Amino acid sequence: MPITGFFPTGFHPLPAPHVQAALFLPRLDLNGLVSFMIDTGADNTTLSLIDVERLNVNYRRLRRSSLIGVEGFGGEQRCYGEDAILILRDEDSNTYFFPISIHIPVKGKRQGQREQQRKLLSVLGRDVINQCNMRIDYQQGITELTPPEGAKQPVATRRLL
Amino acid sequence: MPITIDVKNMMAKAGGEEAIEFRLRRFEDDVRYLHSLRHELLRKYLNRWVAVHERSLVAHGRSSSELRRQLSDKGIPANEAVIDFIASERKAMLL
Repeated sequence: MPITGFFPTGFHPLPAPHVQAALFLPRLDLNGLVSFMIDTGADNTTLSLIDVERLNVNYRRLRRSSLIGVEGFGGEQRCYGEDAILILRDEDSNTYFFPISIHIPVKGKRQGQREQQRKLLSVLGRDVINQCNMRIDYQQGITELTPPEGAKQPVATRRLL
Repeated sequence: MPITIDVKNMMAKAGGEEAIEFRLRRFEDDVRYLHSLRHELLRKYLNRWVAVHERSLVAHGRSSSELRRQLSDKGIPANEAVIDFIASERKAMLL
């Protein structure tokens, strides 16, 4: 069975497909639920600042060595890379595990910048999308991700502490 | 020393597979519920942060920190609540 998402039609005139996932950050011993916009333009799955704060991520615990630059139309933004397990569930209650390096944006220095960062969406990038068969059809209201069978198996996280 | 943590242990610590599924389904439902409240939210909570949990609007505030404080006071885990900013005008996005 595919994992089903949906187009939230509430606030945006051009709704984008979303999917909800459980996210585990093993090294930080944190977990939470996140709504991701499916974004084929993003290399990596990335958290918005509001979700970083919802998960109670302590920036002091993030590794400076994991900092990388991420380029977009808005310019370059720096992000930390953090080992994470993204968990998706299908309608048959199958669990799929995606070990990824999730991107966590560096906080803006000014309050105004941070407020702007909080209003961005968390995005599901091609690090997850490319492992799945994806079907998106706005007219039919279809958002489906079919993960590989291998993603059903629990996997050991790659590098912790 | 590098250590590895089995995903199953991690999930067990979070309540087990069934509990995670239950919370995830509830979260999905809350996301949909938030969007179904569009007209009411635009009327009452313009330019405010709002939070939905278990199909209820549980908090609203001028800043996200105020909102998270309210959630904490009510014993609602922020990592399971749906939080959004009710903007008067949605800007075009290019992510």
